[in-house]
Amino acid sequence: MKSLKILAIIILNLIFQSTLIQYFGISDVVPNTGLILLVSFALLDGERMGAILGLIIGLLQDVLFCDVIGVHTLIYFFIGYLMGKMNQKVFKDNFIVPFLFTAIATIGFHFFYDLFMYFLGIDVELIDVFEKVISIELLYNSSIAIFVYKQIARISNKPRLRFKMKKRR
Amino acid sequence: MMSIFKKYGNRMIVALVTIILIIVISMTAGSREKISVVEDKIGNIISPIQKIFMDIGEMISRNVDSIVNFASLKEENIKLKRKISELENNNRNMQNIIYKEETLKNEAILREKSEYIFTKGHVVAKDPGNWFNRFMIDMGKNDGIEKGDIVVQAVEVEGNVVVEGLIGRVIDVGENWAKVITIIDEGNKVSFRVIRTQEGGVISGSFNRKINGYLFNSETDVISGDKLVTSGLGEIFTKGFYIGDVSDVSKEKDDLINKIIVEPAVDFKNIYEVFVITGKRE
Repeated sequence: MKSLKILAIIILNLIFQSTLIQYFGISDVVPNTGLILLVSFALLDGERMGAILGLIIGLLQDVLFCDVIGVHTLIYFFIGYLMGKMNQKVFKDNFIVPFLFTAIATIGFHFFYDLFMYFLGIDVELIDVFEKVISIELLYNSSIAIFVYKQIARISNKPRLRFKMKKRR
Repeated sequence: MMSIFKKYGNRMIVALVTIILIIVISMTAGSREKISVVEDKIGNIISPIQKIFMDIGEMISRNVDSIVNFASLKEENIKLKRKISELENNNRNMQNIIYKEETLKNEAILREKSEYIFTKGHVVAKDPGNWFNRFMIDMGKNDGIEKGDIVVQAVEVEGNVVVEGLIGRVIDVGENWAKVITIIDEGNKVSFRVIRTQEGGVISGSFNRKINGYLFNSETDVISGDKLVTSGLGEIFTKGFYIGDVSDVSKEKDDLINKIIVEPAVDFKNIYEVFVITGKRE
């Protein structure tokens, strides 16, 4: 049930991200809601969830919008996995957590994307990327992440504290 | 063996997935002739849904823009604001009609005059990232569109002359959708010719959504305001499509080439309808 919910969220996000959200750009820069979702889920549910979601989100985006398949998939996969590793190490109720980790993920994403694009023959100066996109997208992503994270925390309703109980039939 | 797998299981899976993905990237990186069945099917399912949301977005962006601006005004002017909003609303409706009429008129003239056969397509989705300028349209193989077809829009040059303004070309086709790469995308290069001097050169999109380029011959004179058309070199774009005007020329001492910045004829921010050229008129 929970995985169905998550899948529905991902597909809805993909549709929104490629259509409606395109109209909400700040000086032409749009937020990467897929990345925000990925980071939030990974932080809350651990590395396994992060890695699998990274694969799904990345693959969908690659198949629909890119001619080279696998670049987004690979980067998202790693982001999901690494953010999931943080699952046990951070205090999850603090709103600084999604803000900070989304910022890190955004920078990481653009850095590795630039690297891949370089090997695929599209040479873009990293400085240009930082100036035009990352600076704005970073703040945009991170501030949205705070709200998204709160909502996602509701869906992934894993109890923060576990008590051992005898099962009653 | 089992204990090793238990200890490093996760990392082994991660490494394996990475290797598989890198293989996939290298396999798909070259120029592919055909897209896979899976891609085709996913596109078929999702593009009609995207169309609905894109239409909603278009409606919102056309109508709400000025209302958003109102929110920043001070409260003292509430009454005035109401009056203005009413007037603005009227004005907006009028402008919407005028705007539509103009594009429709351009379209009609172009259809009548042009030597090419067009298929009209709606933009259904744009690339979600900030890196590339690509979009999907709701026409595909079933409508006679092929990979490599040129995408244009009717633009008006001074004095009621309507020509084809270059948008880009089709890079992938599905049954009822096609991906279009625009000329402001970094991955796209176009060879051009200056109408006034008939000198050639190459432009390419850049990361900051401008078109940069240079001329082959550094001796030639080029001034801002010069009009550029495609030259047909390289046989990717057919000869004679209008690209835009030169907006800035820079030549530094050490440079051997004349660098130019081009203002495209098409308004890339507001592309809703495009024409795909599917053939030449007899």
